[in-house]
Amino acid sequence: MSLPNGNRFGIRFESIGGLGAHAAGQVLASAAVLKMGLNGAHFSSYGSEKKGSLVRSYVRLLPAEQPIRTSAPVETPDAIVVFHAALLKNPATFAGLPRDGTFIYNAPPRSIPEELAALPGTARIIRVDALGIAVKEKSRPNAVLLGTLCGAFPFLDAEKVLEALSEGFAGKRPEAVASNESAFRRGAAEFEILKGVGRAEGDLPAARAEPAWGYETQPIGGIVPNAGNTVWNDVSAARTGSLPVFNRQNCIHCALCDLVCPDLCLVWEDGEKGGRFERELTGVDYRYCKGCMRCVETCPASAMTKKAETPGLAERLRVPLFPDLVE
Amino acid sequence: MAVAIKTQNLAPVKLIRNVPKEEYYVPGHRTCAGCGPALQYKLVAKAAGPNTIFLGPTGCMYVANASYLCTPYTVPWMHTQITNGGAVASGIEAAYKVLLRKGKREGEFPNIIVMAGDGGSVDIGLQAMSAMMYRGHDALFICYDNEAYTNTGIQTSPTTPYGSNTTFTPPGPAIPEGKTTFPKDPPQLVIGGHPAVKYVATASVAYPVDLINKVRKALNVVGPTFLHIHSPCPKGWKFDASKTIEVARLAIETGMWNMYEWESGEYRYQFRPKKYKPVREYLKLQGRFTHLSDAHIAKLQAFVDAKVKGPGIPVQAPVPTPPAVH
Repeated sequence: MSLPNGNRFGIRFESIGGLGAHAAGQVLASAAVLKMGLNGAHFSSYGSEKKGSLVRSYVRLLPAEQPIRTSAPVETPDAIVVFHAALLKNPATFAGLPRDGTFIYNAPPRSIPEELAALPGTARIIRVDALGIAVKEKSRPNAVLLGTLCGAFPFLDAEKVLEALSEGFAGKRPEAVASNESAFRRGAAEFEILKGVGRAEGDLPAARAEPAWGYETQPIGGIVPNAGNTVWNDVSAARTGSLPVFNRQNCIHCALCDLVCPDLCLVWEDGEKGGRFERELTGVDYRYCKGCMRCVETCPASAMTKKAETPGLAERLRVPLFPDLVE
Repeated sequence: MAVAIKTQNLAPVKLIRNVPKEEYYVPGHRTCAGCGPALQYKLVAKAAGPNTIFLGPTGCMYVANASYLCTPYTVPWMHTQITNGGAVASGIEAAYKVLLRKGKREGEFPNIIVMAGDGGSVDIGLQAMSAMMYRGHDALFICYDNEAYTNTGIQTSPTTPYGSNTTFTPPGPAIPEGKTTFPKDPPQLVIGGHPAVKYVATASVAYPVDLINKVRKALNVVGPTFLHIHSPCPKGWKFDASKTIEVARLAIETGMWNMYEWESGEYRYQFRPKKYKPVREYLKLQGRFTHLSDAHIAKLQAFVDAKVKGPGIPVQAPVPTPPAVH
């Protein structure tokens, strides 16, 4: 069996913890090795065991007669699969894509983020609504994106990959097998190839993370000179498809939501003098909201409702918590 | 000469509207969506106020919050090894006493709070915690209990309940129930073995006002105090992130978690339901218990039934089933 591009094939999954990139890489590599007669390797890089942080999962495939002698990250992949549109803001997501590479990203129909202009003009760019399909089929985005990947690369035997996917779930959650299969098949069929999106020429350079702090620049003694500096972090990428929307008309400013929110994304102001409320809730700072929906569960007045997150919705509704400090 | 530590009097909070609006644990931290421990951290920081020093033994609340050169704490915070949260707290307390006595430092004696996970308090960190309690240092030791080593990949800890599916106790043909042993009882461990301790309480994120009041009460006491806070973990216990409070409340309603205060030998109970719900209702919300059979649930129910007769009274744990021999 021959592989495209000089008989070698590398894939990089760019994802956020909890979306299933690690599992997708594992399924793909084991299908290639156990069922398709290829050599394969897979590993993921992530921080500690938590949802919402950056996860990269790498799969490397070679013909059976050629052993894989490296376990390094795939720096110049033939295909990049992006699990969450928020990751497109990070230039490192595109790094190393060659001019003839394939770029698959997860976004609802008609959504073409401007960041995609950084891609090579000759690269194949594919959009699939993995989250939308996954929600409808009661599956996960990784099943859909695996389907799209097999659809985009016919040498990856879709039936074999699907078999490996089902085997992974048959033991743990047999009821998920059927929904994963329909999600996978819809992923393989319902993707869209975009034309004229990339503007860059030639191959994109590979990126290696350079540490911001080192031996010569770090503060002495391991101290953190500016306490509370996490407020400059943007953790909105941790949301998985929905966000709480605040309706001020219904709000009774009881602050129950504030006592169940671990992320302090609710913004308060002093109430009107002589008014009914001492403190009034004005909105949500979506920069910090991870979308746990505890405020929606807790609200006694239905002032918080769960809504599907569409591009730009969070930016439109956001009320900044630290307007003078963080843009 | 003994130094007179100025006793503080943090007032109890009666209603949600009296909860201070200042936050000392700011957003942007990298915990999971729906994190229980992050919520209790926020509430404890609110309750303690600005004159506080937090010590963070290794655990989720260190790893996810304080990535290199990043902290969500706006009060002094220090990382300690997972083994020695209690020892570092003892040292800081002793140093403050000396500095105040010699007049080298102005101001009030700070609240010293160790924020340890279940591993950092009653497993790996047990000896340092116990030594701090034994020597009688004026510090509050909080065990935020998410019932596993969750930041390294959900491994079992001594407070993991019987029957949990963790990466170290996976259910299989030989051991169908997953974890076979019954958990440690941290507050009883502290009460039973440490005469210098004056105040011990259990709290839960489901009852934030009660939690704030217990923290304030513990900080008002001069001497070592211990709080055991139930903090559900959506990732480790495998439930939806929006259900954290519901899971925490069900733990109390089923008797899996008991809310009480112990003050110089006296027990006071809070939120004790007249009739407990069956533990099955608590278990069925969580993915870590889905493999349990009726016999296992009955065994856990028997354990809980014995425990709720008098929280604070040691329970005779049923003998764990030995693994099948092949």
